[in-house]
Amino acid sequence: MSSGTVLFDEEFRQRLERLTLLSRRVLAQSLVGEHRSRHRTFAAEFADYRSYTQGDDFRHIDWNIYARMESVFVRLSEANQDLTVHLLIDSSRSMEWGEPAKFFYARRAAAALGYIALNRFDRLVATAFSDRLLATYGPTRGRGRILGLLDFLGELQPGAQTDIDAILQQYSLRTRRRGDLLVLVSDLLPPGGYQTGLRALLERGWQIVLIHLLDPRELDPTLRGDLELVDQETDDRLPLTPAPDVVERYKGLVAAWCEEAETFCKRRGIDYLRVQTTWPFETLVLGYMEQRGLIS
Amino acid sequence: MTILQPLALGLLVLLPIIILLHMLRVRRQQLAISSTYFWRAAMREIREQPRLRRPPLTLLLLLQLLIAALIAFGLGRPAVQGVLAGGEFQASHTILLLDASASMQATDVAPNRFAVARVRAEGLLNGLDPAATATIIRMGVTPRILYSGDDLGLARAALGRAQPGAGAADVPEAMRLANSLVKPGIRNQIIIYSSLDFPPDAADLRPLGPIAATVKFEPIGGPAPNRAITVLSARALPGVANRYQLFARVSNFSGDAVTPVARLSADGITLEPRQLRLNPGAQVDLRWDLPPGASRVEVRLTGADDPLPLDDVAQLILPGQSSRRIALVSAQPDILKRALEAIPGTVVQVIPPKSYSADVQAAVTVFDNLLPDQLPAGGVLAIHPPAASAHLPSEGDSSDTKITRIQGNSRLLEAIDAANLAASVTINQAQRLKAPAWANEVIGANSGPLLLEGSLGSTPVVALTFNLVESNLPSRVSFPILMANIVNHLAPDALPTVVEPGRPVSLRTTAQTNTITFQRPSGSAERFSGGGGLVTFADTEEAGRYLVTETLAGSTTPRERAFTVNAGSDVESDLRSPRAPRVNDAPSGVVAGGPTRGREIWPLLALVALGILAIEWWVAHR
Repeated sequence: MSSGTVLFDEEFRQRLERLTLLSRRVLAQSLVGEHRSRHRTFAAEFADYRSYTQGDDFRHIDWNIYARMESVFVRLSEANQDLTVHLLIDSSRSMEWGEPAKFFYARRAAAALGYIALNRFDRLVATAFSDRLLATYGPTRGRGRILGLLDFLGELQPGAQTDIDAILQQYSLRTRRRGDLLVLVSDLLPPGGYQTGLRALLERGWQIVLIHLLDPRELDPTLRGDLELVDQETDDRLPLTPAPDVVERYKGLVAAWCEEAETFCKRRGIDYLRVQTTWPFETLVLGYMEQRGLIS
Repeated sequence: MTILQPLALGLLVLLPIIILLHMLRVRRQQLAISSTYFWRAAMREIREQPRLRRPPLTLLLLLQLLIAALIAFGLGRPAVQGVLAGGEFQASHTILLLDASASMQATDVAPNRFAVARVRAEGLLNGLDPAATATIIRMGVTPRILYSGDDLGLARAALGRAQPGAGAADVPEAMRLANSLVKPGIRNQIIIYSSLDFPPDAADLRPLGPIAATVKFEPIGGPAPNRAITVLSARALPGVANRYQLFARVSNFSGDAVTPVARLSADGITLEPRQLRLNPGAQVDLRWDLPPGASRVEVRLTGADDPLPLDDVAQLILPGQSSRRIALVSAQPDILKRALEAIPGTVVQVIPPKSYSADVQAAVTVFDNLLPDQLPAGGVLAIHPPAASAHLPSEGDSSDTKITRIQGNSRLLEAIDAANLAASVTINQAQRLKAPAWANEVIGANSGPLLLEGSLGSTPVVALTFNLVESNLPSRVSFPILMANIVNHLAPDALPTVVEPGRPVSLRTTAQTNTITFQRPSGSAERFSGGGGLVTFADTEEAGRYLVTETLAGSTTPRERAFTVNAGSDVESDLRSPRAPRVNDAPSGVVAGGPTRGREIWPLLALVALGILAIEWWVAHR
């Protein structure tokens, strides 16, 4: 499952070609990319007004408004901008579980998003992490780096236990340009250890997309018989004979956990996508774009 | 389908036991998941897992239940009928009576009649359906069941172990035993493998009533000439101490005259061969005066071979070395001495009362008109003890002595006509007394007990409470018998010198006896522990000399005695006219055809159980 050839076959690449990455972009200092952004700036294509502040270019003052309201406003417009996409891929042992394995799906999703980013001349940084930051690919740009990205993802191996909070806090300190997009692909396991890290990223001005990967059997388990459950990540062991009431309670707890993650993200402007590993990755990408209001 | 052993279905109790074990002891399958966090939380919120729970419906449980059910069902021996069984057959019970008398050792058929009978019986067993039941009865002096059941392999093994004896076959008793083993509701057959050399009274089985089975005789061997020593005995030469005269009878059971040689040997030394001539069907009596000190004699017929060598030899142990010593303490010993000396194998020593001391060594001590307080070792016969005796005090003599009570079943009165005794014996005076606690009355009068028997400590005691000279008892025919019975009762350890085949031999052990070992002529032995009880050895069907060894406490030298068993007899040695026993011609209650019973399928079930067991093993270890 983890070999590069199986991970990214020809059919997979053809499917990537059909996708287009749309994203918000902020104005870059120099480079202008092909992506539209929600960040407002001075440009010919009107988007909004704001009050004049000292230093604004007089040429952007809307004199008509001044004539009607006797207040000075400057015109803001949307502008195409260069975008840096940071792909952060959870490589912990819990990601190795599932059918297909969540790690397999995560790498395919990362490949899809990275492929589109490179194809549109966005800058791309891909980093794997478990209990620490592992290998990094990039920053890089251009279609010619697509094969390198696929090789990088194909060679990733799942690591040890993860500490998402620590990793995100560490990553938030990295040099970045305002409005850089961070896409976190993770199962968020073990539960409860991601919120501090996300807050740290937000405080540093990151745009965040959280792709929460789940195996369908994590949401609706089909366990039978007398079992000894072994935690894939912590090696914790739990004897269990799944009685119906226990199973129902489990489902409730998992649903509440997912709901909590989604609520946390929405309240903080983080794009949250809950994805099941049985879905086609196009669904993930399209879901992502829809989530961000780029397609209807 | 028929279950032949329904009791085995009781093993189905294993099923709930297996389920219970699965409920109590869980074998958990390891399963990797992404996180145990939510499962642990769910369990913590719901409850702890109970120890006893609903039985888990696992493949392992199902396989184990199936195996247990198959085993229980298979042990129940189910049988199916019809096409599935490949044919039907009738349930049957075959009872084989194997003649083990001496005549079955005749070699007119090779190797001998008994071996041929065994081969034929085995052939019949081999021809039986594997599900048939069989019983094998050894028809000897005492008929014995060697095997009864449905395992024909065990039946064949029992047949292989059977050996012939030197005695006669108790045919009526064997048939009675076989008839009692007939199984109702199925087809029974009784097959008798025998030389059919039965005496006329044993050959008529009609008094047994109907036999609920088909009876079939399989004669082994045919009419054959034979010669035999049918009698061998010895008697003491009158007036000569320790000298015996030997008496032997040689019979010719053939239609031709024979001229065997009778060779006598004493203690292994050949003494005197005698050339005999016996006309057809005739017999001749031989006498030898044995040399002094001879203890073991043997007479052997030699000459032309005959088919039954077993009865061409006879042995005898002379009573000299195994005689019982009787001390007679009496001032007027004549009457008692004559009676005691007439008992075979006894030596009587007369001791005047003044010369008596308690250290007398005798098997029996007879006290006439006295009874010391300290009794000697061995048995004691007290005759008219003094009134002041410590052991048997009396109130003087009484003339009211007419016999009014007799314990007819007492061993002391064996072979005595009790009624005649009571009518013919008169006693002038007897002691007036009551039976003491240690004794039981055998013969009594109004004056009290006349004959008592009991034990004082370990000493067996018999007492006559009247003076023999004051009665006519010594002149009665029963007197020597009574004295012999008393001596045999007080000193029963005297072995007979010769025993009929199959007759039991009893020995009374003493407190000093550690063990008694009976060694058969073939060399095998049987050991009994002593301690004062009566030991009975019944396995005397083998012809030859039996050695009896008694080990005593405090003695390193064991006491050895012997007796012999001789095979020759007018019945067993006469091989000329076999006759089939007569049974009721139309036995009632015979079931011609019982219910059908199909082919047993337990081997198939065992095979299936084995296969499932292999699967279960694979499932358990995968």
